[in-house]
Amino acid sequence: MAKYGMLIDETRCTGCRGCQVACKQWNDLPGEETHNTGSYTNPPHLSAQTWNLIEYKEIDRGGQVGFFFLKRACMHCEHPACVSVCPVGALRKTPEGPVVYDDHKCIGCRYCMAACPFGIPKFDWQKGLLEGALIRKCTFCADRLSNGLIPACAKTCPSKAITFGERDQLIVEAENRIRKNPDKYVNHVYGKEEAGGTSILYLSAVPFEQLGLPKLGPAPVTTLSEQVMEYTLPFAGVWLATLAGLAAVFKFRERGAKQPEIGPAADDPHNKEASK
Amino acid sequence: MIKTATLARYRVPPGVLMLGALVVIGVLVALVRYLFGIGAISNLNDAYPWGLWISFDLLCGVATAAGAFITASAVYIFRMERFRPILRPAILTGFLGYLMVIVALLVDLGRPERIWHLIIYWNPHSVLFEVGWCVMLYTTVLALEFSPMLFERLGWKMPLEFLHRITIVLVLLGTLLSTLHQSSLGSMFMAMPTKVNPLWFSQFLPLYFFLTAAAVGPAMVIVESYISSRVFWRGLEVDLLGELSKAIPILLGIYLLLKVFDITLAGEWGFAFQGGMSILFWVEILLGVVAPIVLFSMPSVRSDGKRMLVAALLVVFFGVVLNRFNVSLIGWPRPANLSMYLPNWMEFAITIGIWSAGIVAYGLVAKFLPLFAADHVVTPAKAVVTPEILQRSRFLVFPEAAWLQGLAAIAEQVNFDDNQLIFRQGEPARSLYVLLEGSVKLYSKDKEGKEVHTGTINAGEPFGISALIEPYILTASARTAAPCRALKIDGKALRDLTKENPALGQALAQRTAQAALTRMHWARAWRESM
Repeated sequence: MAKYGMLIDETRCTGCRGCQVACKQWNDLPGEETHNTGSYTNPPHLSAQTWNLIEYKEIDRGGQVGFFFLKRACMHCEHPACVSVCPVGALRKTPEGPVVYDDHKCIGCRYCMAACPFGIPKFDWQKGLLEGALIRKCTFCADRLSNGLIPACAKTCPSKAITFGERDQLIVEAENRIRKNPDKYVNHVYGKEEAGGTSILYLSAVPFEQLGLPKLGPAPVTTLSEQVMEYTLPFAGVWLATLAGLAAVFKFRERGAKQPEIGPAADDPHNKEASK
Repeated sequence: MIKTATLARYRVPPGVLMLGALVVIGVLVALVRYLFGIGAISNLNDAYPWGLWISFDLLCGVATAAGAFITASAVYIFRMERFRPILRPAILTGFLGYLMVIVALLVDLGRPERIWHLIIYWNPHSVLFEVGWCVMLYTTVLALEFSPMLFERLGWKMPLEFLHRITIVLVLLGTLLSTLHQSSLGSMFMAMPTKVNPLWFSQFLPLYFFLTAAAVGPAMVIVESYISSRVFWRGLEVDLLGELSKAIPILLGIYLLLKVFDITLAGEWGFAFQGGMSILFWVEILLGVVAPIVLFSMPSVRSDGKRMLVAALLVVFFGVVLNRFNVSLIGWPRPANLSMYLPNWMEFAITIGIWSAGIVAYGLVAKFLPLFAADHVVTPAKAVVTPEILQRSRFLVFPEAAWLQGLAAIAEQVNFDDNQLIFRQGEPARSLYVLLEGSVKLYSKDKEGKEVHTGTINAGEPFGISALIEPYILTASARTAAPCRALKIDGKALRDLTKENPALGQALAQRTAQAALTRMHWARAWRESM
């Protein structure tokens, strides 16, 4: 099965927020009442009601301030931290690419939120037991994909900043664009290798860190924790055997000094002393 | 009206009333949370999904419950029988600690009603999966380790016998689960290399969490023993605690060496000298690790209750609590355009409510269940014995009320497990005992130094009578043959009392001589029948 991705060419983004609206529309997400925070970014950050957000960045480039945009949503990692850490397996990476979430399994521990290096999963902070709080995030429109449609944001983008396709081909396409216009782009496809690779790939004219994307190595962030989990069972076996062995040795040492017939119980340190 | 009357009759201490009020506040706040969501009572937000409850209630709660497995493994695996007197309080602290963690999680979890999903949905890659299972299993083990106190009180022999038989299995499992659980709380943060501050992030995190928990276990036993010795007017087991605390410098020493090695290897010392986190780093290392290593290495500290308390508190607050906060909360990068997290007062109300409930529960158990093996008391204990209790034994029935009051003032009630050593031949006879329930066997060494059964004490009879006879050295060892309850009368106080009241002294001397005579004949008969 084809593994899908999206190439987001931030140099083509006009900041129209069409994708933001399309996302809300398709996923039936309510609007958020917001305040002026001094930034065009609105709502100010992703939330359980806003899964896709255009962030507006004013970046100083050699004395000239420019407007740059970052379409922030779930990266749909190849090796997702959220999937790795979820204790009940409520999050799952599908073979087609989307990282999807099972409403019915989640216990609300929020380990996914803590672990995600991109800070994507969000929580229903204002829902009580009756409403049932859940983790919310972009689904890569998995429901549309399975019906032969492309994600709502990609579908709606008027400036073709969002290209939907097979991830491998998108990487080739991204590298082509850099090759053709080396002055226009930073020479890096963000997401090709970050944290083990992501389904969402970015091209940008300014360094990705200035856009607000974290600097990440090529290894999935959960490499160490998964290693530890692999060693846990063997360690538990060895440790239990060691403890049992120690218990036996210490018991035997006392037994060795045991008085036959009458006298204090065998497991008595006092007895040991008495026989010296 | 009825309520006030009842309260007045039972005279609930004001401290307990206050704790009760704090529990009620916590419950009310929890109710708000269940109705309107976590956001209604906390400052947790999408940038800070974990806050006070995870950093304190979960991480610190579990670490400070480590005294249970440390003490249990010392007594049952390493056969350090001398630590038995502090075993039950340590297990109770651990058990209550884990229950408190679970209650906190039931507030913190987004879907507390689904906590059981951990049992049916598995993700073996997740450290939290392991944590969840460890909490469930170890709480069960702790409940079983705690239950003998309950069964003894109820007098249920069958479950007691069964539990007695599987004790070693429980302790082995408990130690295994604790090792896994303590370390896995550290492993949890290995999934966040970009968030945990580099001074704390390490591939040794599981080991660090385990070592500090193992060190804070004994420290918590010291703190909790000290407090309960004050609250319940019992003595403090200074010698035992001093010995137990010897483990602390070793554990923290290994931890410190590893940490130095680790930071050097990663070339991260630069972080230790820049920014606010570096200050917290040094506070943690110097006050929470180095200072306790030095203090607990000094015999003058290990032989003094108050000094041990101070050193133990350093381990608890700077070595562990500050450490857990640094790893899980304070050291995390502050996200752009999102507010800083400081716990809301209602978050504190939940935590304080849970701790108050824990303290009340501890008090109830101490009051109603055989928690303290009161034999091992170095400082004299305050009397909690009435003349009526004294007269349960024929040995102590006197017509004079003043005598009884005098005796009651220096007597206390003590409980012993089955097969527990009460005293040893050759030790100074510090106390006179009168058995109220159960049965005690006496053993003496014969000419070849062999232990011989020289008598059995039944309910109502005195033992440890060497406390009344010069040179006040025990001529036999005593071991319980069943769970026992006894009166313990301080020997020196008793001798002082008989000096003031020669008539009482004479009466006691006569009864003691009778008891000694009977025992002598018994021993001879036993010998000859062999």
